[in-house]
Amino acid sequence: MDAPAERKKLAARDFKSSIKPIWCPGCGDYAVLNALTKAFVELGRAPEQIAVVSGIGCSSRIPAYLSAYGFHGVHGRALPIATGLKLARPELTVVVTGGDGDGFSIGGNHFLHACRRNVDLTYIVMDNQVYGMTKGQASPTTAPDWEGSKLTPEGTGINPFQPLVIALASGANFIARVSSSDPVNIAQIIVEAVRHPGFSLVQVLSPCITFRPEQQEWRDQVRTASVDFTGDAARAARRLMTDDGFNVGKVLFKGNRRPFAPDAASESCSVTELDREFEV
Amino acid sequence: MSPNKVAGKGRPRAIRSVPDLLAHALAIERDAEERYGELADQMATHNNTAAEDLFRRLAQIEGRHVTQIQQLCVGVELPQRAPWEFLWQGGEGPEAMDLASVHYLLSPHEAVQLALGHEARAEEFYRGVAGRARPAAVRQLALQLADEEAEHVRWLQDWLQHYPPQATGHDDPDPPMEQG
Repeated sequence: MDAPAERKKLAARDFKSSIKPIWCPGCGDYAVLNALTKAFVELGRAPEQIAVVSGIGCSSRIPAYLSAYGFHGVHGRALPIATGLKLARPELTVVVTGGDGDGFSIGGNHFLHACRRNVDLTYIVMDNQVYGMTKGQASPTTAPDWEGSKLTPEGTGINPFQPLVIALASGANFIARVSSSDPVNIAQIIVEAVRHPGFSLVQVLSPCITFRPEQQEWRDQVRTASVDFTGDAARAARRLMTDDGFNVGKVLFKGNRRPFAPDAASESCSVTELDREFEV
Repeated sequence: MSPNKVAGKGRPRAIRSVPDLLAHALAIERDAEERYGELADQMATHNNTAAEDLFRRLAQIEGRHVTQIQQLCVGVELPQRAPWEFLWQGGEGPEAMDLASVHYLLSPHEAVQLALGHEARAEEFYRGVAGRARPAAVRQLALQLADEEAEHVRWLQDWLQHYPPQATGHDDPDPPMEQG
């Protein structure tokens, strides 16, 4: 994409592609799509300065619905793809999108190391505590007593994965939780997340109205977190110890770790040289 | 629809100038036009043509309202606000229908009811602005905008007569099947 010499101020709708979402009406992911387009406007970035990378799942369809560079990747592998892209093209704003199954189960190990590596990425996880695209199985964040799937008729019996705790322990530099019931707040937090250097995690409570219809009650259960962010990981950890998963709307943690950003230009080589490295 | 506890930010501050009120009005009407269009697309995707047609009509009406407000904005320098800096209660504009409130089997009657609620919220917003505004020009414009929303409310109340409630509710004879 070539940037015109002088560009008019873009509107949120300019960041939407002509492809219409096929999500179920009422799905929380619509709010995230709208929030992303609003955030891109506020960030003042042009479509060709943004790349959105995803894995597999309902929420991972987002790159197709946006007018920016997009990569709909392999299941659980959005973070390594995005890491490679950011290191090769550090001038791009790289946003990673996906769901709880893609990010915390199939891609769980990549999640740990993306937090640890602290490359300047913003990872938005639309957490609905279920595999929606494959029609309703328990995911890593599903409560142990959820009996909605024939695969786990008596619940999983396993404690759910705690994304914010894991992110904090693994070294993520920015951690926040938001609710799809407030798309404008999501946009605001995404802007903060993108602007904060290093790896940013934004967990979005995004109901699956088809396979977890009871999640529609989340909008009445969430509350705006009572305290502002801390830069002290120990304090953030203490807050998470008493967290019930419904404190939303504010940043929990902003660290000051230096992002991993090797000088890609000085280490670049030609395609022929790369080919030679892979010769057998 | 229950109030959104996340979005509630207390009593809105006063809008003090006509350009600022126009900026708010433009954002409200654009959000509404886009949202109705978005909902029409959703219904089209799920083959609910009755609700789709209704949302398209609503999008057209809001589009005309956008044009009217744009005409009021000619020659006026509007203040730039981020989406979270507008002075209404709740995250999105009062007229933007809540994305979570719809269902793929939404009936036209339910769609009109939802729209009615949001048009009434918009009217309430403008009347609130008029009530708090000190400059007479702001108060006058806010009342004009409130009256326009009140007219939309009356249209929708009429529409309710044309779209009677459906007895079937959201029962799907071929529902999404849980697998595994």
